[in-house]
Amino acid sequence: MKKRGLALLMVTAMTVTSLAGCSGGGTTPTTAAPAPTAAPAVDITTEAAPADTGSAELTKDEITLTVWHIAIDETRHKSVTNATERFMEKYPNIKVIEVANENDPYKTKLATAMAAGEEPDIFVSWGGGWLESFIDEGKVLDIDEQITEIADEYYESALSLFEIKGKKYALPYACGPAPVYYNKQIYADLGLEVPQTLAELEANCEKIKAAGITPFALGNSSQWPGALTFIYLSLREGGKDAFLNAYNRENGGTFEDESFIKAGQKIQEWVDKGYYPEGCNAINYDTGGSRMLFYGGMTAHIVQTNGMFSNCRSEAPEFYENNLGTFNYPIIEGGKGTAKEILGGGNAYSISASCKYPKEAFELIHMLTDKEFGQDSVDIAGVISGVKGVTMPNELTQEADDLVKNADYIQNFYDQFLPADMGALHKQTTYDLFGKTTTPEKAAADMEALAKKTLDQ
Amino acid sequence: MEKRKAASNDRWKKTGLVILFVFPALFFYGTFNLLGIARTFYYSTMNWKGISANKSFIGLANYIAVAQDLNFWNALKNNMILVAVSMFIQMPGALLLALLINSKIRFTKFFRTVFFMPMLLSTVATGIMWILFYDPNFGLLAKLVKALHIPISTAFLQGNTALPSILMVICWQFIPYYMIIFKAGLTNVPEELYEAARIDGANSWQCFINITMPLLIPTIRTSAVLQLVGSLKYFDLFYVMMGGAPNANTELMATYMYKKGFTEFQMGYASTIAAYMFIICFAFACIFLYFTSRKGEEA
Repeated sequence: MKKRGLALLMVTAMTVTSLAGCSGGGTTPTTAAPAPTAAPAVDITTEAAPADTGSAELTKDEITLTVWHIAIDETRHKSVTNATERFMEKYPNIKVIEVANENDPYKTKLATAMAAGEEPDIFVSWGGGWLESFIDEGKVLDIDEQITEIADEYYESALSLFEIKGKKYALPYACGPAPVYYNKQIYADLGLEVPQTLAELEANCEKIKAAGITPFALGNSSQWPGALTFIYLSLREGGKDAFLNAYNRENGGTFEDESFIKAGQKIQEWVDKGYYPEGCNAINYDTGGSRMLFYGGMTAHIVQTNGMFSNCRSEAPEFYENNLGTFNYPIIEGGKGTAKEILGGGNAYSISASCKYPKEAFELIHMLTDKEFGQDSVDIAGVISGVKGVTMPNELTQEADDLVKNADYIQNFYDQFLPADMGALHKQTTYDLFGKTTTPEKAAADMEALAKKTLDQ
Repeated sequence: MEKRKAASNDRWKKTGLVILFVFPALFFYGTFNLLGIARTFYYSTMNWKGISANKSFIGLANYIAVAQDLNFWNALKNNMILVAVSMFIQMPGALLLALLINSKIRFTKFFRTVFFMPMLLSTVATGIMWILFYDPNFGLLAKLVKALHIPISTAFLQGNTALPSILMVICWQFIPYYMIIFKAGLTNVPEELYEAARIDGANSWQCFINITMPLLIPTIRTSAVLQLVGSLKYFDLFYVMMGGAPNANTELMATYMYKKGFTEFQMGYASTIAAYMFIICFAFACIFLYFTSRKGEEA
């Protein structure tokens, strides 16, 4: 009997410890008092004098501002610290504490800090649904008016990435279009021209395939890399309105719009034709599976975010110098989309609603995203910032900057833009499209069913 | 009267001493385990996003929703497969290796070190190493399959082959761990018993069945419970090897909970999944121990 008692005690101990490990999600302590409903984003514009944001009215007290960002690698971090140093030189009474975070843990860390009421004054986001969750909870300061005043310093397309429900909540410090990256050597060897239309791209792909090269590299294990192609195809097919109408539930737009179905059909057609490497859903982008195919000349193109530039520069410098080229995603003849609509994403600084010095914080995020920073960013780290008047150091960054400059609309990645559960389903369904475990119609219907549940409220 | 007083004084002193020594452990255990579990159950009755303090009480609505959630049942099914693999592949495998390094063959120290090595690697490093091993184009396995002209897809971490591929890695990682536990158990078996049995004419198999196994039962039971609970709450390798996005084929309860809590911001719902996991782990461990301890008493 005694033995059994001991055994039971052991079980309890073990299961208890096991749960401590797995229930981290549920055990975040909250310190703030619960509010009955989601408070609207706090508005500070009433107290901030509109016309001038000069230093005259900023506090003279000794204060501290904390900034959480994700510029963890040395080059990007340098461009951030240069900007904070300039700020502290200008305002010696304000101390800036900047904390660099790893990309993925940062998301969890910020959410936890928000829940605990211990968020930093300034934080980085990707815009879209993620930022919107925080706005809905009343955690983000409404800085729409101040941004509007200085809006002409930035590309309109870059600012529009961080517009939520008609208001701008963040100043962009990185803005990356997702182009098609191609191997110039392969194009030269086969005598191919950069395609303007999808038909031309497909014609190129046929020739590339005939030469024994796979047209596209793709490492879709983490589900988002393949989604880029899906978004581009539907954007070119239906234009930005097809998606925005479906998202805003207006003008009869749905996620079962034919542009989404056609995009799915095109993907499966390409999979069948062998445009993608074997088992693209099992290739891991993060460990380089798809990039090795591209650098090695085994594939001719890769559709990727602008992160590909820095990856390529550090992983395959020679390829970066000699082979890497980009072009805008070709348009579809007869489609509603134009070449001025591009897919991209960016990062931006927002201010927490709890920040005690909103004016000073705004001045700081202004300096963290201004022209001087933009120049630093592109020179040191090769990252385009979305601010105007920056001189591009080389052809590749110039091409990317031109894309942003000429665009009148940047479509944020759906999984950033949509509410989190829809973003997850969008990635899952495109993954299934590539793996041919769903049909284009079923994928669209699944999205629409969830949209009805999530958005029609 | 005096005597009794002294005795009770003594007892109090003893109790005080016990409390003093137990307190630090109890404090940490209570704060980080018991309190955490209590709060998990508390949050599981809330509609809460986990971003701000805004939450509302919704009773058992989350529990009903999770019970009707097919994704959760699918995750539980995958966990059960993991449990089965742990019990019926890892355990015998570990026992075999333990017997091997316990036998009097040459180079046992060498083999012990080699066998134990996988356990020393961090899980993420292990995961990345095996992702490279399974890579459809450059991976060792893909090259092997192509060289031998075996007509199968090299997309191992996809579709139906994803789960077995990861289970294989888990076995590779955890067999050494249980091997060491079994080895410790084997060391405790007195040599005299074998000598006596040999004199009585028992062969190796009879020695194993009649001496080694019965004396190893408590060790096996302990590791079985560890495996049961460990498999039910497993997370790491599935998360790492599926690129942070396990799908229907590879979703576990813990990865599903993480997805709901931290990527979809449904912390209340995620807490309910955690609560179910707790209940399931607890129930399984109790049932298992109840049955095995009865057997132990009969013997």
